[in-house]
Amino acid sequence: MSIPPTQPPSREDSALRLARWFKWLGIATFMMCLLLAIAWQTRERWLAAMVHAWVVNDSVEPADAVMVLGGGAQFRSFEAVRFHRVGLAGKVLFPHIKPGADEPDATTSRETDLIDRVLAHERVPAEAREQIGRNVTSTRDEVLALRAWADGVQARVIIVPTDPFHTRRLKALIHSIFAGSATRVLVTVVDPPGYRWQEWWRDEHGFLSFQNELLKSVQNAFK
Amino acid sequence: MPSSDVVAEVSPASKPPSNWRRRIIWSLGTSLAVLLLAGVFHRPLLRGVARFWQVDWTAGSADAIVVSTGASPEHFQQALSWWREGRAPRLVLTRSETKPTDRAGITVSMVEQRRHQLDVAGVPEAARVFIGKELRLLSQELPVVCAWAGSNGVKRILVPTEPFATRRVNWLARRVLSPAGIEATVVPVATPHYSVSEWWRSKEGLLAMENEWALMAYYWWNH
Repeated sequence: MSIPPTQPPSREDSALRLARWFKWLGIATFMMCLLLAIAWQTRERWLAAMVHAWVVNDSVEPADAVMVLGGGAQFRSFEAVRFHRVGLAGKVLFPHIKPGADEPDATTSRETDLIDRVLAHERVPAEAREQIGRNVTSTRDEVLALRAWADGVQARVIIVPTDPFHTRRLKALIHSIFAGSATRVLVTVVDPPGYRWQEWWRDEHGFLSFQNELLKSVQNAFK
Repeated sequence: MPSSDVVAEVSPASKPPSNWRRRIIWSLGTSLAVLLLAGVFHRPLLRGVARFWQVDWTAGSADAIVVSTGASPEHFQQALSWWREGRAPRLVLTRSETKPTDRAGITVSMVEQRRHQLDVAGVPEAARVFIGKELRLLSQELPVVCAWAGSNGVKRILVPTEPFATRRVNWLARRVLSPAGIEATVVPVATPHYSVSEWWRSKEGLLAMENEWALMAYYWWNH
């Protein structure tokens, strides 16, 4: 069977095709503008919804211990003291953080020392304070140290307060490291100083912290 | 003409590639070539990005040197050495926010630490000025600097800052200070955490660059 040779498109065909193309371009532009306008008008609602979906905030119950993660001496340690004071946690744990390059002769880092000083200042008795791990350098090391402690004392419940945007990544890390353990680890939110995390886009620290956490989560997903 | 000859003429193998096929091949080829070139020349390209982003001004003479009490030790030392060199007769320190441990009396506030360092460095009381209170953002600091400069006849100030932050600081300083006739010279100060010429090699450098892009976008949007 023979196929007839293709004819070059006529001028009318080309004009018709161009008109059709412009029509679709117009529709697409209109839809895009409409979507952008809706997104702009409702921005506060979906930005707030986004952060509420992101942040993990477990309800607190009486626990064996509360853990102060490194890097949070200024606010996490005060929250841990609060839990201890109201009788929600018998022990306050904190990590032995590896001293930094700028403290070569130190045996404990400034951060570890500061957490201990905060706890002592806030009258947490020495027997209720416990340093765990050795030379930890990351959240992963801290959670590993926490698992070892929990296994050692057969802890039932542990509370870990942290800043809001960090909660999701921390919960995922705890979930993988505490796999098979009978210990339940509750992650709770500590309000960051200076801004309301529920309105993170209004403050540059909130904006930066949230986007940094999103990036770290993406990075972790590819590890 | 035998029909087999006609079939041979229009068989798919001998058909010229369609426009779409040609476009896809061309786009893929170009993308690959661009990626290859970017890979081969990544060093000069990334160095170029840093050079473009950093506002590379050198410190001249001014009426005052402005630095935050919460700035890094490198920035404070740079401000001090400019004062010693006689680039400006006054050192202006904006008071940064006090930390929870300062308020609890566990640690000494940055304002007090800087005051002590100025005493040790032999900066007389007449040459140092502390302005503002509880300042946590650049957008809070600059209006305070502007008000102080306006009431003290200060027209030129020197501002030491992090290399990648220079563009953002310079941008906001122009918006806030220029209408009042105050000229700010924002000078990059090397940081020990990363090298500007090889910023992509360290986590700190990558984070600093990415954070500055995000913050610049935030500033454009909000200020």
